[in-house]
Amino acid sequence: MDDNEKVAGFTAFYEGSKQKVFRAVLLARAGDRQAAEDAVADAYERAYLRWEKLAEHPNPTAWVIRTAMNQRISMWRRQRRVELGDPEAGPAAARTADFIDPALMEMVRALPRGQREVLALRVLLDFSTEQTADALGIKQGTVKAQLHRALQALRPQVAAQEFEEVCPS
Amino acid sequence: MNDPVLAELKEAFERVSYNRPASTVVARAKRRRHRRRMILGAVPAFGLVAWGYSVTQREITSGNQLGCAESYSQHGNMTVSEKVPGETPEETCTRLMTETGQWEGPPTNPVQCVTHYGRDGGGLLVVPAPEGLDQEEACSAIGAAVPPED
Repeated sequence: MDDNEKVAGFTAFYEGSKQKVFRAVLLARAGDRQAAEDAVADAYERAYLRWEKLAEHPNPTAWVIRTAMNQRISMWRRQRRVELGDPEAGPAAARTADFIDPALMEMVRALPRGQREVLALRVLLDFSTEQTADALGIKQGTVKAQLHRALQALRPQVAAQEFEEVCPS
Repeated sequence: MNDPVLAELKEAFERVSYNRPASTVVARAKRRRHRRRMILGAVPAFGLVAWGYSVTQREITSGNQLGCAESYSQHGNMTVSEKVPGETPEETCTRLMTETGQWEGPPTNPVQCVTHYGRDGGGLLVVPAPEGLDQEEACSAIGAAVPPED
């Protein structure tokens, strides 16, 4: 694979997957847009560096997702931006997930990280239970249980929110 | 998956977009690779001959933090954000690499993680083993003392 082929192959993969991957990581990161952007960018950079191998991977999107979800670098980057006086780096900005209803985001934020990760892969990436289990390194039974618990937690709150919207007090 | 709650969740997140161009990602990745090569290129200056080992960014910190690069990698950078009670930095580093999927275990690319400046913070060194340097040589390569044994 020469450099042009590598760039072309990676670019096609990136353009075809980046939105879904970002949204999934954003959900898993509880709407922390800055952390999600950092993690996704870092994961794709890593993917590019090993693209010769990754192009043969049965599910490169799962590889990127796993890498992005496992990144723990954001706090260093954010801390550095805070130290440098970056106005985008403050806690309020870090929690911004524009275009998403704040009430819904609060519900998502209240879920444990494991449940958010399963939701992200099952719902936003349309991964199967098996693919989700593989990507997160957990058992299929755990995927089902986490999804079930997440739905149990979200359902009454979404219903209550809809009632409030239809019948404001 | 036809659940209305999940449908609402999906619809909400589909309003968010990520617009970083591929060219930016590729350019940043290339700079990252360049930095890694620069680090590797510095290794022969220490007068040591080994294949495929690399030295992390060396950064001495204070308190309970270890010296850090920005990301985990057995090929160059390592971050340990804080000292974990009951673990040596080497154990922390190895565990985090495994947990974050950065570990490319034997026989592909076995590594050892060692630290210098022992328990008081300092940089981390990542060396492939067994073909790479041993711990004493690795520490010597960055002018550090061999970490104390627990």
